[in-house]
Formats: sequence, structure tokens, C-alpha cells
Amino acid sequence: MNEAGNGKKAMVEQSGGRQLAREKRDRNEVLTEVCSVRLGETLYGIPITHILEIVGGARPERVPLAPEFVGGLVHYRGDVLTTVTVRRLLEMEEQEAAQDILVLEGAHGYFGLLVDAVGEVLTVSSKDYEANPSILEDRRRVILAGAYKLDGQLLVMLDPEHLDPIRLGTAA
Amino acid sequence: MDDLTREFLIESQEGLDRMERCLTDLEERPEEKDLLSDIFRSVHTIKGTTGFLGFKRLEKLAHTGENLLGLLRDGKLVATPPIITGLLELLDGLRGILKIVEETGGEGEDEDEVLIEELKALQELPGQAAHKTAKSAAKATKPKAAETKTVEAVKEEGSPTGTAELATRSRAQLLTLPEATEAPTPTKTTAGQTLEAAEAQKSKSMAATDSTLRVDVTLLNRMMNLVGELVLTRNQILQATAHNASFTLLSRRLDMVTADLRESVMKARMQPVSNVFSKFPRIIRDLSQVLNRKVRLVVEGQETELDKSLLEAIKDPLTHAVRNSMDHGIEPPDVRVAAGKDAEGTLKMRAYQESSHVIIEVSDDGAGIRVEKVRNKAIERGLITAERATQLNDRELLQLIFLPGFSTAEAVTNVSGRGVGMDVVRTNVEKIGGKVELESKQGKGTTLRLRIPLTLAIVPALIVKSRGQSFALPQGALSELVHIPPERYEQEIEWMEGAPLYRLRGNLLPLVFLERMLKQGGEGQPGRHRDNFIAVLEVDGRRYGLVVDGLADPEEIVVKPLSTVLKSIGLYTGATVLGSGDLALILDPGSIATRAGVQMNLLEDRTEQAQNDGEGDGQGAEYLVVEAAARQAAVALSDVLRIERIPVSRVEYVGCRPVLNFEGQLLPVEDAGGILRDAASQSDTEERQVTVVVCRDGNRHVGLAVSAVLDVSTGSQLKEAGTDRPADGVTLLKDHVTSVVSLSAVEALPEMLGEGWSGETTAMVGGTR
Repeated sequence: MNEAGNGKKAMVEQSGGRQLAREKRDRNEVLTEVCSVRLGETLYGIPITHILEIVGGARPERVPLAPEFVGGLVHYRGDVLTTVTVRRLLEMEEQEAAQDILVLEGAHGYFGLLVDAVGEVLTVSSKDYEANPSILEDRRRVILAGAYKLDGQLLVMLDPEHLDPIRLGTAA
Repeated sequence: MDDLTREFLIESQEGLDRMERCLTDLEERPEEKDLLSDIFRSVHTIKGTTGFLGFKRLEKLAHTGENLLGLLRDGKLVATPPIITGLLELLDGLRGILKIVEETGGEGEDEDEVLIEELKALQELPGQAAHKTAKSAAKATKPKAAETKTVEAVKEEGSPTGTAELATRSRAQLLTLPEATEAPTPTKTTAGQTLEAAEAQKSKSMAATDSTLRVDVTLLNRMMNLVGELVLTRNQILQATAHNASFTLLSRRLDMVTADLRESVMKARMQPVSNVFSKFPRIIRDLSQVLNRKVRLVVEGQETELDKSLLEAIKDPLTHAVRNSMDHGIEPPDVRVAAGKDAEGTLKMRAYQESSHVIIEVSDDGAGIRVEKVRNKAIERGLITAERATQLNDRELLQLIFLPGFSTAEAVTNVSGRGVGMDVVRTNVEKIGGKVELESKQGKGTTLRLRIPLTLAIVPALIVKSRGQSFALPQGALSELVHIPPERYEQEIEWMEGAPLYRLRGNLLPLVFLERMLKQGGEGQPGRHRDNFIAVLEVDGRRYGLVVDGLADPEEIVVKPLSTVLKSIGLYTGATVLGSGDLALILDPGSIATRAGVQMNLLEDRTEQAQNDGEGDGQGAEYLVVEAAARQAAVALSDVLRIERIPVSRVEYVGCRPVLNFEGQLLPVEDAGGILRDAASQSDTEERQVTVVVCRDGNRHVGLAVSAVLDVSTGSQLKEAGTDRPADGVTLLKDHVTSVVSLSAVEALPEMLGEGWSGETTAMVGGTR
């Protein structure tokens, strides 16, 4: 797990450096690197600083009696990782095909985020950011963190902290 | 908390542990200089460091203690029982403050005036008189110069922590007060010998400190985890390369290295049981004063090692067991003398390893457990009906003391008698996958035996399936498996107002459908049209059948913890990765029973127990009926370990003796019916399967080759006509006289191929793993 931790640190430094470089060009603009993920038709984003690793093509093992948001278990670096199914949280249909997993670090250990597919890393600017609209349902509002306006579509930001299974467990 | 303080805490605790051990030794050898110096050093170190770290309260207490110890060490005082009690109180006081420091970082507001006054009072004890008696006693037996020299020599080379000053000082003392080094006992030579032995051991342990280092337990856990991972990867590689000859050598090497690595890491987590045993001299000392008993503690096998976490887990059960022995087992001195025993009772704690288990025994030579008393108490407390009690034999009655709420104590004391105890012992030991056994002979004593697995991280488990999903069921709880084919489903599974039951040898066994419990399928009756398997489980004295729809092989699984969210479901203890690479959840048989509402059913439970335990008493014992060469024979069910269907090709021959490589052990196979011979002579030998019943005969295992396993049934003892003597070797099964296979008659393997054959050598013998 240590390796992963170091990897993350490296990533943080790297993106921090880039942010700094671009900030010089425009004082009011903060650039963030976001990993884009696709779920159904929508594009979602998670800041890459939160991501430890991406595991592709996983088929999580179901856990009977587990809370609804639990997508199952996967084997990850010698540990058993609990995954959260974003589809279920966003009230989409469960998907049968293999899914990609974003490994994130929560307050009490690692957890995985099940998404349809991981896309490219986008650099977005704070200029294009808007907070959650007020008409959003409460249930979704907690796990979403605003959106970036891209050309032709929205990049909806997921809030990694609120996706932690422990938080979801206490909220449920 | 800063590193310095943490270091200080660890060191002080180690020092105090050592002090505790020394103090109990000191009571037996009150004038042994070395013990006193050791104790003095512990307290002195604490005092020194506390002053440095600014813990005033600790310093004050340690200082007072040091003064008293100084007098003792200088021979101005003799360690009388009151002084030792005082020193033990000092120890508790220091521990108490250290605990506060550990928890809060400060040392708390309490005052230790009472204790300090007490310690001061001890210093003013008529030291003169005590000193004189010691001197006169010592004078009677002049010390040998040689012995003094040993003490001295060890002191010089063996105390790297102590300053040179200390060494010279103690030499000075030895020169001025040579009498004091001798214990004033008439058995002088033996005292001297034990002293020497103790010294030798100490110098050895001192040398050990140079070559050891402290490692964080979490790091060890992590390493264990990674090794587990390696084991899984190895399993997969072995499976994948099984058909590729060029990889065989490499993968075999990987196999060996992995096994060695796993063993080493497991060893790193091991600690000698002396870490736990060392607490007991003190506990016994305190208890014998409270209870007015005279008890001698004998400890054996202290060096036996056990996983650290398991060692922690057995601490409480052992304390309970020792308390019970002291309170209920060993009688007061006058009673013992009246019974013709030595006034001093013996409490023996013994640890030893037996294959993959460590056995810890606590035995006493006390009064033993009076069976009728147990029965009466159990009836009085409503734990069992009077009618039922009459049907139980002594052995079964003894088991009643493991029921919650059971106590035979006449009065509740603060030592024991509150009715919590033995059930706690059993629950705690079962929680870590162990077993508790009890033996008691009235008037002779009681032995409690804890059977603890070597490690928690790797558990033997049976993989079961429910709706295509694999689950691991710990083997410890599993007692047998029953297969129910779809066509027999209707008859075999009976329903009582919606509750499924199975008639297991005449007794109703409550059933729990796993699929239903886990809400895997829809509602309605599950599994009418498929194979069903009942895993008969026994946990905390509860017995039930877990119904699953498939069985896979047993596997040694590596337990991986679950996240909090999933742990809170309550039915899983963890997860594991199977050899196939799939994940499986580990089921918790205890929680499933609780969730399903399975109660302790004493009536049923005990009948089963009676039959399973029915060792040799023949009455109502159960037999496995087998067929060999068209004849029926019976094997006592209690001896049967498992039944294997194997291809004939797996049976190998040592000379002309058929043997089987069974779980890395060589198993002699008895082929009375010539089944192996017949099977092997067929042309299609590759496909041919034979059935081998694996049985236990004392400490060894033997296999019986049979053509079919027919049934399990209860046999009754036959008596030889006219003599009223039980007939050996035959039993009455379903009104037919059937001969019972005598396992001891199965010839042992030649000496050189005996028990020691396991592990690496199997690769040479078998090659079919």
C-alpha cells in the first residue's frame, strides 16, 4: 500500500507544480486536473489528487445483505476492497458488464468506486466552475460537488469524501 | 506523546514485568542478591528517567521504593513477606501511573501518600533483628567460595546495562557480606544449583538482547498479509503451470521458497507462552493469601511459542481457569492433610505443541469436580431437567459446567462464583478457533486443556456455494456433512410451522437455509429441485444445519479483514481469496445461529454429544457401516476422520504395504478386502476410484479401503451368552451382528517411515499433490 501512497504524493506534487506554473499566466484562474469517468450518458469527474490507482475490468464479488450502495468486493493488493457503486447512488440501472474501479483513500482506509469506464484526464479551469444548482435533489446533492462547463457538455464533479462507504453507511 | 515518552513507557513496562517475576522468585529465595539488584535496577531506571522527563509523581513513588530496595540490596533488611507485599503494591502503583501517562500524557492528580507511608514504614521495620537471624542462619552453613564467584562473574560480564560502578559495588557487598548470598535453607546444595542454573539462563538471555530488535506489530501484520498474497499467487501459478514440464522445476522452487517465507514470517509473530505464564506466580500468590490456600506452581513448556494475538486472547481464559483451580479445585491445607495429601497443593501449567495446535493445560491436584454436585446445581439453576440429568453419564455431566450461568460455589466470593467463568473460557477459546477439554477425577484433581491453533491468519475452511457464490465455512465449527439429492428433498426435510428440520440419526436438527438467510433469491421454498447439502455446525453448544446448494474442496484460507460497513452486517468475519482467484466471504457460524434464533438445545445436543464421545463404552455408540469384499463391517464413528474417494493411482506402495499421501502425511492403508488389489489389476486403472475411510487410532491415522460406505447406525453392545461379559469386536447393528474393525490391528509402517514423514519428504514419496 505504501507504493500507492507514494504514487499519490508524486501525483499531488506534479499537479501542484503545474497549477503554479499556469497560475502565473492568469491570477484568477486555477487549473485542476480531473479524471473523467463515464456513467451512462453523463461525464463525471474526480480530482486526480484523490485517486490512488485505477483497476480496469473488474467484476466485484457481491456481498449479500450489504447496504445498497455497496457494489461488492474486489481483491486489491493483498487486501479486500469494498467498492461503492456510483450507478446505484445515482439511481441508475445496475450494469452486468465488467466495470472500472477508482481506488480512493477514505478516512478509514481505501475504498473503490465502480464506474462504467474511466476516460482521459482533463485539465479544467476554475473559470468554468459552477456550484451545485439549487434544484438538485438532496440525495444527489451530497455526493456531487458542482460542475465544470465544457464545450458541449457538463463535467459533473463527484465528491470523494462523501462517497466514503463509512459516510454513506452512517447517512443511510 | 513524544517518542521519548513512548520509549520510556515501553522500557518501564518491560522493567516492571521483570520486577514482577523477580519478586515472586524473591519470595522463595529472599536473600538472592541478584534478584534484588535486578529489582533495584528496574525501579532505579524508572526513577532516573522520570526525573529527566519531569514526571514528579512517578519520581517520588519510585524514589521511596528505591530507598527500601536499597536497604534490601545492601542486606540491611531481609525480604519478608510483608516487604514483598509492599513491593508488589509499589509495582501496582507504578503500573497505575504509567497507564495514566500512556492514556493522557500526564501522570494524573492522585496522591500516593498512603503507599509512600507504607513503604517508609517497611524501611523502619526491625531490620536489625531480621538481619541478625539471617546472619545466624547463614553462619550455620558456610557459603562456598565457588558459588559466590559465579554470581560475581556473571554480574561483570552479564550486565551491559548496569554501570561499572554497580558491578564494583555489588562485588564489594559480596565481599563484605558473603553470608547473605546464601539462602538460609538446609538443602544448601540444591539451592546453590538452582542459583547457578538461573545464572546460566540469565547470561544466555542477556546475550540474546544483542541480536534482537523491536519491530512494529503493524509491520509484521503487513508482512503476513503480503506473504498470504504470495501464497495465493503461488497457488495460481502452480495451477497454471501444472501441465508445462519446463516450468515444473521453477514452480516447485517457488513453492518451497514461499512455504519457507511463510513459516519465517509466522515465526516472527510468535512469542513464547512464558509472556503470559509469567503473570501467574503473582496471581497465585495473591489468591493463595485471599483464599487461604497453599499452592505451588509448576510451569512446563514455557518456551512453546504462539502467535502474539492468540497469546493475548488466551490470557483471560487462563486467568479464569487458574482462579477456578484455586477456588474450587485445591482444598484448604487442613482439608488436604485430612485427605492424606500434602498440605501444599500443586497447580501445573503446561504448554506443548501438537501438530498444528498448541495445547495449554491447567491442572491441579485438588478435590476434582463432584459430578453429583454439578448435576444438582444444574437442575437447581434450571439449566437441565431432573429427568434428563439421570440419563447423562459422568463425562457429559461434567460438560454442564460450560453452560452460561453455571456455578457450584456455595457463596459468591470476589474470586469466583458469579457464574461467569467456564462459559467465558469456552467462548473466548472458540472465538479464536480453539477447543476446551475438561478432565476431572474426584479426589485427584482437574485438568483443563485449551487447544489453540498456531495462527489465526490461516484457517482451514470448507468452501460452500449458495446460488453460485462461494462462501468459506471455518472447519472448526463443522462436524459433518449430509447430502440430500433432489428426489429425497420432500421426505428428508420436514417442516414444523414453517421451520425446516432434518432428522439426523433420530434427532431433529434445526435447519438454516443460507440462501434465505442472505436473501439471495426470491421468497418461497428454496432448493426443491437441486442438490442440497447440510453442513452440521456446532458453536457455543448450539447445533444446527446450514443448508447450501454446493460444496467445493476444503482450503487453507488467508483471512482478510472487511471494511466497517460490511463488518456491521454481522454474518461475515472476513473475506478470502480462493485458489481459483475468486473472492469468498467467510461465514460466522455463531452469528448465523443467533440471527436464525437457534437456541442451545440441551436435550438434543447432549444425546449427540454422548454418542460422539462414547469412547469404547459401547452402549449406544455409533458406527459407520462399510462394505468390503461383500461383507459388512463397522467402524466406530468417533474414530472416523473423513471419507475419501480417490483414484487408485494415488495409492502407492512401500514394499508391499499400500500407503496414501494424505495431507502431507503418510497413511498406512488396510486393504483387508483386497479392494485395492482388484482395482489396480483392472485395465482402466487411471479412472478407477476407491473409497478410503480415514480413521484415528490413538495418535496415528490409518486408512481402510472399502468398496462402499453404507450407513451410520447405532449399535448395541452384545453380551456373551452365559457369561454376561461384553463381547469384543462385534456389535449389534439393525439386528445383525456385525464385526467391528480393530484399528489397532492395522500394522504400523516400518520404523523409518513412521510419524516423522511429512513436509518436504512427501514430494519424493507422492509427487501427486
